[in-house]
Order: sequence, then structure tokens, then C-alpha cells
Amino acid sequence: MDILACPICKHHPLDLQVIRESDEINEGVLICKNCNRWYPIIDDIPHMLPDDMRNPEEDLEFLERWKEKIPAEIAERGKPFNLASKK
Amino acid sequence: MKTRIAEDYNATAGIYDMRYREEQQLKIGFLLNRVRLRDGDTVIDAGCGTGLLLESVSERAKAWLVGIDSSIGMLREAKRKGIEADLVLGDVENMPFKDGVADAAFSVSVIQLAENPERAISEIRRITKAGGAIGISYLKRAGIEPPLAAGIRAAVHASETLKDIFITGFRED
Repeated sequence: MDILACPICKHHPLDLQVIRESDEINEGVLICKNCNRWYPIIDDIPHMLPDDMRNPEEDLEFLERWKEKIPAEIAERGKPFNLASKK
Repeated sequence: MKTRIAEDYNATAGIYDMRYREEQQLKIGFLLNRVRLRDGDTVIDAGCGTGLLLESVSERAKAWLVGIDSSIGMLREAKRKGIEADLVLGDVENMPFKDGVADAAFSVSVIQLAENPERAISEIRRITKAGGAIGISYLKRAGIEPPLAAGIRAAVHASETLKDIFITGFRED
């Protein structure tokens, strides 16, 4: 979906990292190179909420589950939540 | 506050259509009858819920349909119904779309829930092309003045029977 932009800084295009795919992209991450935010794609649906409407526990669980397939700079230093902040 | 609204909708997504379909379809018809849609249009519904507006659009034009909603439960229900649309979890006041991507943008009975309805309308304008169609409704009982953002040329309609105020028009520049 090339119309997507970062909801916070409105940067476009976002980088797509596919984690698992079948017919559509089932799981993945969209990354904003401008503000270093990341947005999960879960069951084909991009989750693009602003920081204060996101669920930190679910986000960290997602990062933990897929950390091998997510660029390290996002897993460790991405906004608004990352695995380094959890330690 | 907005998180709580999303959770409320998550909890009722499964019965939303049964309870509200008829009323919502009257509002949707009111808007769609006043807006021009063409084959090939990109249509975005801000606060799409279970996708009732997108379904109605698909009966009128072969459009690329995009729905955004802050409730994952409502989006899953839309997906379960098999709606052919790209669905995005997001906030109407902070939309994750490029400027000017929509040939037509809609929002039905949503912006009265926004923390700042004017910001929601300004986002709807931002994602719409210059000259693109805009159709918005919000609940009358919210008691807000029609919050028309600069740069939208629109008419405000009150309906005798429906619970919403309706705004239809287009993005000027």
C-alpha cells in the first residue's frame, strides 16, 4: 500500500520489512526512516496508531517474537518502544 | 480516552451491523447521493468500522477502497465479512496517509468522538486531492458547530429524520 505515510511526521515512503507472507503480507514491519518509528503489520493489517494510542506490552511482545527478522536498529532503538528500553 | 473508545468498539464489533446497519446505511446513502464517484477512484473512509460505507461505494463504482479505524475489532469484522478493501488501524486525527491520495474521502458519525474535530477534518482535507470529493457526517447531539476547515468548499445539510449533520463538498486547493 504505497499511500501509507508515518502518522506522526508524515514521511513517505515507509520501508517494508516482510516477516512472514503467504498470499498477502501477513506479518511485517513498516519503518519510518525519518523519525525511526516502527509499525507492525499483523494479519495483513498495518497498525499505524500514534504513540499514545499504542499498547506497549503488545508492541514489545511483537518485537520479542520477531527480533531475528526485524532490523536491529529498530528492535533495539526504534520508537516509541524497543527491546533496549525494556531491559 | 480515545483508547477507551477503541476498546468499546472492539467489544461490540460482532453485533455492530445487526444493531446499526440500517441507520448507518441511511446516512451513507445521504452522503453518497451528494458526491460524485468514478471508476478508478481511490476512496478512503476515515473511521470505517465494519466497512458499511466501503460496501456501498463498491456497489456504485469500481474504486480502490481504503478503510482506517482505531478499533482492531471493527477492522477484523470488516475483514471477516470479506470486504475487498485495504484496512489500516489508525487515528483519524493522525492519519497515516500521504497528502492528496484520495479522490474521495468520507467519515460517517466519527468526528464527534475526536479530541479535536477540526483537526480530524483538516486531516481528511489533507489526504484528499485538490478537487477531490469530501463527505462527512457527525452526530447532531454532539452540539458542535460545523467545523469546516479552511480549503474545503462544502454545503452543510441537516436531515429531518437522521441524527447527523452532513457536510458534502470538495477540497479547493
